[in-house]
Amino acid sequence: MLVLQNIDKSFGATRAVQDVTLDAAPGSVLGLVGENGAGKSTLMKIAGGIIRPDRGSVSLDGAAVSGRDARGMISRGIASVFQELTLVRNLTVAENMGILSPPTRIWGSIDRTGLEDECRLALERYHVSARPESQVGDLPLGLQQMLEIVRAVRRRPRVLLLDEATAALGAAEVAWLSHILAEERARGAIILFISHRWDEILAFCQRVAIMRNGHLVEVSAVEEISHDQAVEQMTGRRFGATFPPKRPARIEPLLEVETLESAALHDVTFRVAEGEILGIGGLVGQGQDALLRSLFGAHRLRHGTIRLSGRSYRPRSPRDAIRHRIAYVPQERKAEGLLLHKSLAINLSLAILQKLTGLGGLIQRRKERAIAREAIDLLKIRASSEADLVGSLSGGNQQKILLQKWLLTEPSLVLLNDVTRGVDIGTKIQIYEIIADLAAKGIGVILYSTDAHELVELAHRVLVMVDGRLSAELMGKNLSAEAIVHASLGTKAFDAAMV
Amino acid sequence: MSGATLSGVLHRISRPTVLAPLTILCCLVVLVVVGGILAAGFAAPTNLLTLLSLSAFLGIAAIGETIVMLTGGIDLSIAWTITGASIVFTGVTQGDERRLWLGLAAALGMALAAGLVNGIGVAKLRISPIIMTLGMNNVMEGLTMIYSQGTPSGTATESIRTLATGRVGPLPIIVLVWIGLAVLVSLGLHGTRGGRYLYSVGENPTVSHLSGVDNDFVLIIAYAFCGLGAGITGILFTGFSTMSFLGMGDQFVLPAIAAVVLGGTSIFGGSGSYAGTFVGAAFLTVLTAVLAIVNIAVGYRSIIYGFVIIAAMLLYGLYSRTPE
Amino acid sequence: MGAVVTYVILFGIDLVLKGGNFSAFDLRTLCMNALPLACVGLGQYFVLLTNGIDLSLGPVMSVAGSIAALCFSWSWFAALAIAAGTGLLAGMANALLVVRLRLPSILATLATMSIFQGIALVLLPSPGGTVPAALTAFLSGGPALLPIPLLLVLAVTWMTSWIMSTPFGLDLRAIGGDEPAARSSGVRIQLAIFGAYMIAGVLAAFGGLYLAIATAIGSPTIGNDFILLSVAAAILGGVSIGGGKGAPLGVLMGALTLTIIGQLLYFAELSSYYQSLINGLILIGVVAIGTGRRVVSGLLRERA
Repeated sequence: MLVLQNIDKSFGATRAVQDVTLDAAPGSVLGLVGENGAGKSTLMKIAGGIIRPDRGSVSLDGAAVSGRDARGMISRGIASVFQELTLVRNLTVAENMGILSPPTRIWGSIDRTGLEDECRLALERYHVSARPESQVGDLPLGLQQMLEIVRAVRRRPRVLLLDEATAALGAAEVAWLSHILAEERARGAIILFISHRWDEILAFCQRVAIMRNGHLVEVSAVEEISHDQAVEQMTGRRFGATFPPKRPARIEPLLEVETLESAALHDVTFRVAEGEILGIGGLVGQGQDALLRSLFGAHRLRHGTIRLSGRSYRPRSPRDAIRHRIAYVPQERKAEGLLLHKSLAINLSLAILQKLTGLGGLIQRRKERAIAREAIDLLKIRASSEADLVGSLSGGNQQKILLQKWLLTEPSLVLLNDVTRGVDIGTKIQIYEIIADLAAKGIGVILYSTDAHELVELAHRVLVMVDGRLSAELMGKNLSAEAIVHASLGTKAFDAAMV
Repeated sequence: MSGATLSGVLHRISRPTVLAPLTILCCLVVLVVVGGILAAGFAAPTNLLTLLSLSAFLGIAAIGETIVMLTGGIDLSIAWTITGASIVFTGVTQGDERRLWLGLAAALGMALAAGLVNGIGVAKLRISPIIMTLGMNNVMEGLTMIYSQGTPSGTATESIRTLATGRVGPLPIIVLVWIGLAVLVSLGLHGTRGGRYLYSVGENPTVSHLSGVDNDFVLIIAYAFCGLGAGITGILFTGFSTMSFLGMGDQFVLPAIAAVVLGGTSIFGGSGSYAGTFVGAAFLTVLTAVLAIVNIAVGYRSIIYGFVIIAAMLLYGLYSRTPE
Repeated sequence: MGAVVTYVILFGIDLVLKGGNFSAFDLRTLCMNALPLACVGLGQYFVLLTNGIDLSLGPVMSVAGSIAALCFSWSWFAALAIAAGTGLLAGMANALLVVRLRLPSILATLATMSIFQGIALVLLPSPGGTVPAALTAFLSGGPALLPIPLLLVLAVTWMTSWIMSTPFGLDLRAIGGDEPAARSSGVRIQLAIFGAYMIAGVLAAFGGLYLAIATAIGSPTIGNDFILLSVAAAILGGVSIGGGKGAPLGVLMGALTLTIIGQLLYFAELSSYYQSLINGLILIGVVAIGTGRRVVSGLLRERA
């Protein structure tokens, strides 16, 4: 029995997990679902001993689990497979498989044949077709994920933690995983499984735990809860009233995109009108990121044409795109959006410095400060002054600054990459209002979001992406969260593979 | 209101970029006091000015190093860029004042070219700064050796000698030059668009790129400045030593890096100031002088030097900001 | 293997210049000249594997050589053992700073470089000490076709290759390839990095020891040239600053390449002034070709 008792965990100002108590029994699979940023991954890492909780305890079969050393956890029979792969790309399959205790010869060298034989046996045992001597980095992502799963189950762990381990798997591989999980269950392993695909939860799990904003909101047997109920639990109250009303878009086309092709995009064609909010939906990593970046000059296109206000447009760099009055608000505000060790004012002015530069390249500091103060007042940012470091602010305030940084560039087209992810409700509502305001001013908005309700409530039209292609266009009465989820999942393909 | 500003000031002081120079400044004062106790006249204004003029060469050499390290890079090639500039300068002018400008153009042009090559290698060819500048150091050494055939000729011109060793009233000219450059560089770093871009590239190249900054161009300019700064150092140091000699730049590389680090600039880039480097350079020079008056053997000096750098790094908690 | 190709080309030029005469004497001098660089380059290789860099290896050579020169008059064996022990201690000091105190390796070893340099100068303010003539003769002697320096070069390369073939070597390659992945795979990161710095220290000490014996004198600054040369040899050998890549044989080739350039210049009747120019160009060239190849293959993959 794996028991989590009153777990609390915060990262800076964000309370990732709050007072969660949960147990998982041997021989069963416990599903863990929730929106992005709901705290699932953090909870799983706590269960796996990789993150230490601020409060609360984790115990396995009565003994406390603690310590952050992966090696220690493995030796205690806790195996984890995460979405981020932990295979070393420049080593071979066999080396990765046996890295903890490779067989050695008398003189201490690794017995390569022994290592590869061991690996080959394991691969055969779990029906994975890979060569032990190939470099992991050369293999397709799905296969790497399977190898990682094999490495975990091969150690016959007491606890198996799978965090979006199916994200890179196709339908056939998911079916493969279901066989493995059945075996592990029969062996009496305790399994925790995070997935965004409800079908998988239904197929693999006996019980499901639903998380929202760090809280555990529901635990029930899978057959006792419908998908709709689960979605409602995950998203919480439907704050329909808090979404601003949609205004009709204009007719003049602002952006026309035809047959875009790149490493991550295939035959993407669509239009955005002035004042239109175009939603982009789909599961994570289906090319939405690449699409937005390609319009911003940060993703290489192979071919395709783009016209902006009727003129041919082919951005070579973000710099070029900004000159064409396009703004891109990235998703990872810490890695891609803001300079955390710099002040609010410096961050706000970074993309418009050209306009603030006077004689001899000198920055007009007074103007810069004024702009920053204005933003603080306008967006009700909680900061003592414009000199505060951005890194010292809360996530919601950071997000508002990031948005404002780009609005200052006076764009005609705004690309938003999942900007409300991991943001508190209050800030979310504020951001929704800003987006609606932009559209009202005739600015085109492309809004990618992992939150289907957000798309339904904000966007005039929603395009759903699957595997780099546009798989559906939803508008009018066809536009609903269920329709987006349905179009995202490719449910039929999955069912076919399961049979 | 005063409470808010006070806490604001305290908050700002607690940042390593400000804390580091202040700490080093305190250590510098302590060193001067200790020096004054050990040797009469050490803390006298004239001696301090002399020490400051000695610091100037290191301080000027560290200008470029500060700029490059703010981008998260490092320049190991200043050793032979300094030597090369010096040898080319004396070679071209042969001490003749009429050829001063020709000599300056040749020496600085060469130094600038070296910096540009470094920048292009790092930015466009994506060669790691350590390797690129290490290789470039070898290249500059080779070119200098070939140019001078192993025996540098000529001397510094009178004007350069005045610049390096002369005085205006009691003040050494070189110190004034150094302070002037320091003001210019600080203004450039903190007040201009280019400076802003430099910090943003250093702190987070992705953010910077996505904000419309031409990262490659910024890097190339940074290394070009570093080369130019090394060239200026070479010429000024020639004025100090009246002639050029092989390997004269070697003594600058590691102290320059140390001065930058002691001054609170992060080797991961993105934070720091030239004011910090200024104090760091002065501190290192005074430390050497104090160790010299206590008549400690060269070996012990080197050991103490190393421990001081480690102590400074531990003090600033530099280790807390490892890049992920 | 860029280094092998470079070396073979240079060796070919060398042969042509000498009119096809490669005598046993040439082999001996080549090995004698290359051995210290090979040792310290291999040491640097271990540190580079862990994504670090060790700037203190040159002075470690100086300290080891100086200590040995001072101790030889007392006892041969003690001199050798103390020199090797010095390297081990120096490596431990570096590892302590990098692993336990988590200082960036380039700064930590910059500081220890100064410290070790100081220690060498304290021990031996100017070149001196004694080296038994018999030892010098023995270590530069041996049969014409199998001289002792060649055997030593092969032995060091073989030893390091063996280390890399053990589980410890696998751990190092994993850390260099992807440290976070290695950590969550259960590799004991700190232990492995500690080991890498200690091995580097010992290898540098061997290099310094051989230099002292070959030149028959201890010199407190003899290692200075090797600070950056060791990095160059490792990089030429295909090791990347990014870590994880390269093999001991490549590093040996890198060291041989840098050594043979000197001989080439001599036979090409070019002044030795060209040596560092060519070193630098080769270093930048090899790395640029490497990154260029990555860019090209990246483009190809994108197209596929």
